Amino acid sequence: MINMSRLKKVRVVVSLLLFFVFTLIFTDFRNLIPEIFNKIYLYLQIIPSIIYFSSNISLAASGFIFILAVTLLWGRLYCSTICPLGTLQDVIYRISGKIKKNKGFRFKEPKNLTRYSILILSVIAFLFGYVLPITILDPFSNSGRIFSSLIKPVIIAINNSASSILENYDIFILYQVDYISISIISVIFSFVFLFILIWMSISGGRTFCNTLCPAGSLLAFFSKFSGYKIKFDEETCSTCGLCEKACKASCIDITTKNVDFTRCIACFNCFNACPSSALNYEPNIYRKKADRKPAVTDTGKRKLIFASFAGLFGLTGINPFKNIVEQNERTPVTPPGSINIKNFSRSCTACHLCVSQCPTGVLQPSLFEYGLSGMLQPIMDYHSGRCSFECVKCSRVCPTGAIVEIDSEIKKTTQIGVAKFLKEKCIVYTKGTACGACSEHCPTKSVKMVPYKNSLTIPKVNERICIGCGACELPCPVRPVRAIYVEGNPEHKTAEMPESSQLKKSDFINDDFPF
Amino acid sequence: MERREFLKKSMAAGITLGSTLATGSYEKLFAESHTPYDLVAIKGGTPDTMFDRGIKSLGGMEKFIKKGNTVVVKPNIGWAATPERAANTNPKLVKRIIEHCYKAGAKQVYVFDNTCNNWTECYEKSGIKQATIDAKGKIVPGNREKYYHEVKIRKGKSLKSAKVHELILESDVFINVPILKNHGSTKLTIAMKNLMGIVWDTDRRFWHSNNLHQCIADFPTFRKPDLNIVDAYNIMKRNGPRGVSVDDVIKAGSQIISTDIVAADAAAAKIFGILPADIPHIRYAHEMGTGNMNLEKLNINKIRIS
Repeated sequence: MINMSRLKKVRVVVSLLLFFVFTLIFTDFRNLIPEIFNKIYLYLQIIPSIIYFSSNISLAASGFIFILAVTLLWGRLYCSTICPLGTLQDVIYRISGKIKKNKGFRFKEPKNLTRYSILILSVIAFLFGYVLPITILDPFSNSGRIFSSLIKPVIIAINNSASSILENYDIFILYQVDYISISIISVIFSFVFLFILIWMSISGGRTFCNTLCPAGSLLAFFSKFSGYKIKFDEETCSTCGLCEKACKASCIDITTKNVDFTRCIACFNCFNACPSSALNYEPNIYRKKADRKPAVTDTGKRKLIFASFAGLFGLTGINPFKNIVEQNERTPVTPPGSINIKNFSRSCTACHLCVSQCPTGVLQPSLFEYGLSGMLQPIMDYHSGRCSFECVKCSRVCPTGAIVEIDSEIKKTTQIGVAKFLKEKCIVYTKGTACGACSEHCPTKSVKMVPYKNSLTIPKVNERICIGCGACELPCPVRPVRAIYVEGNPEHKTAEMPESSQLKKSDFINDDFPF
Repeated sequence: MERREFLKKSMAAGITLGSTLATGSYEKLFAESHTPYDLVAIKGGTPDTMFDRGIKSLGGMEKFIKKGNTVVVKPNIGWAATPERAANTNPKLVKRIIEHCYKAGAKQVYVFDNTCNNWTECYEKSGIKQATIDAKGKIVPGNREKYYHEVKIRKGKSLKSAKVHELILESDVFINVPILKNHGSTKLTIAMKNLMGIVWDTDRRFWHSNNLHQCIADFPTFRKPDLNIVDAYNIMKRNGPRGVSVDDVIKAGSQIISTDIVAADAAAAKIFGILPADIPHIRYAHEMGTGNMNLEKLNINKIRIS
């Protein structure tokens, strides 16, 4: 028999370790963290993994099966150990306890109607192509946004001030970093969410996890069937109530000596709180049904959840997502690897990992460019950056399959949009002086300078080889409306390779000095 | 201003000193330094050996750098491209220049560019970061506005002010090391155009929208580099300044060294096969008296390495 009081220590160590990895991944402003950390960490995130699996049934997307299996054995270990928002709440509670001593918790009745309704609503909305409820409530995505838009700027600020000091001594190991990936929309949203979360966790421990969190409710459902559950040894228990006080999920009822295991997040604090070791993990087979008040009373609801999740794997081909974006004047550009706007917008939960890791800052959170359901999803913003020709970083980090991993060579011909040139806005046309900033930066030379009057040259777009990277739009000096912009391809296409002819004889340099 | 005057004086002192002290293996240099060349053109070697010969014929780096000087070397590091693409200055040349600077007694040699692509990627891929480190120079970022300080361009026609990198403002010696390339906006990019990499991004946007060629010609009226070394070893013949592939590159096997930025641009343009007067900014700078584009009026030393 293992010593139950050790379980908490293990949980704390593992959760902090994973939380540290999470922090690194989301605040890695110099791209120093090896990709393997991303891969392992993201594999375990349940909601991204389910969404990924729904569009791509593969081993890489099977992380949620592992989490469900763990839950079926020992309950919601995900919530206590793996979930970044879970650990964040623990940290908040711990800090608040240092400021003002925590009173401890008391048993509360489950809010089954709320939590399972939210879960079902999220699932149904997702099946109909609306990911918004998940975007707003998914613990992983929320943590991602909090870290990339609130914590990362702080870390960059520290880095920049440290590097400023070192620069005075001619040391450039640290260097100044721009705040390019920080967007005001995301800052506001994350701030509001964090504020609510702080209030919820100080006043009620894991209230978020047991009322609002769709991942929590899903695992709550599965933990009903866990092989091992935490139970009272009624003979040893002295009914002191310390376990109830220690239970941040408020799921221990000392008066009935009952643990509502669907809300238990397996933090093991009760094991340590109990002076007489009366709480233990016990195999579920010893459970007498009559002793327990069922957590979910409505069996129809139970069936609905089952049906919903069966549907999740079966009905993913059907996507009635109406393309709201078509109503906009311009089609937004989605990152290379996202295949089409539909796939992207239905799968992206706006965790902002791609935004955070994008080296040029071209990926920015959107507001309503993808419609209401696509709120906060990243968009290619060519006023803040351009898509680096060889870079496929976003496709390699996306945990939901909204951006599918693509090869750098394939990316170079993936046409995510097409440059449109507005001649009457161009400097060459309006002022009659040379410009050509757009053509300078074009990696495929699809924007070429062609002869214009007075020995000037003017841009011309070859749409067949344009990949829509925005290298032309970013440096265009015309304001407020730029003379060249990228129109998104709702369905990504393949561009032709730039022609590469041999140089002409006249291009070769004479061996003599020409002067 | 004081610094520049100091520099001029020290250069004059250097000439005297150099011609008195040069002995032994420097005999040849001694002979050559009697004729003050306006421009040196070299053909036939590698970028580093061409520079060795070229700078020697100008009296060595000692003529430009005094002991204890700080030096800023400004290559073109604009693009995240490998050296064979010839989008950036040849790293071998940068390395050799830094070595010469230290040999001449420089206290510290800095290298930077305000790049077009992601700066860390440019520094890395161009090979210039490694070249600088190998030569014990300091590679310095140019990625943030805080490094750039507003200056007035009094003689500018279109350009009245610009935000210039502090290294240019603070260093004793400024060595400009462009690469000769085709350029979509300005036909060619050589020495004067390379100075768009020492100003901040908002200035570049201003230049592009306010008579680009004139702005390029205006800027050197504020600060002319003390030495211009044009890398014309491998040159991008089309699709410049970024280039699409190595197919855009041919070997020209040349190098131009001059204190006159306009002359350096004119000579490089001719190597490329374009008349200097056909490049508006070269013509404007000549007309403004910044330098001389009439190569026939200049004393040019042509060196061929076999």
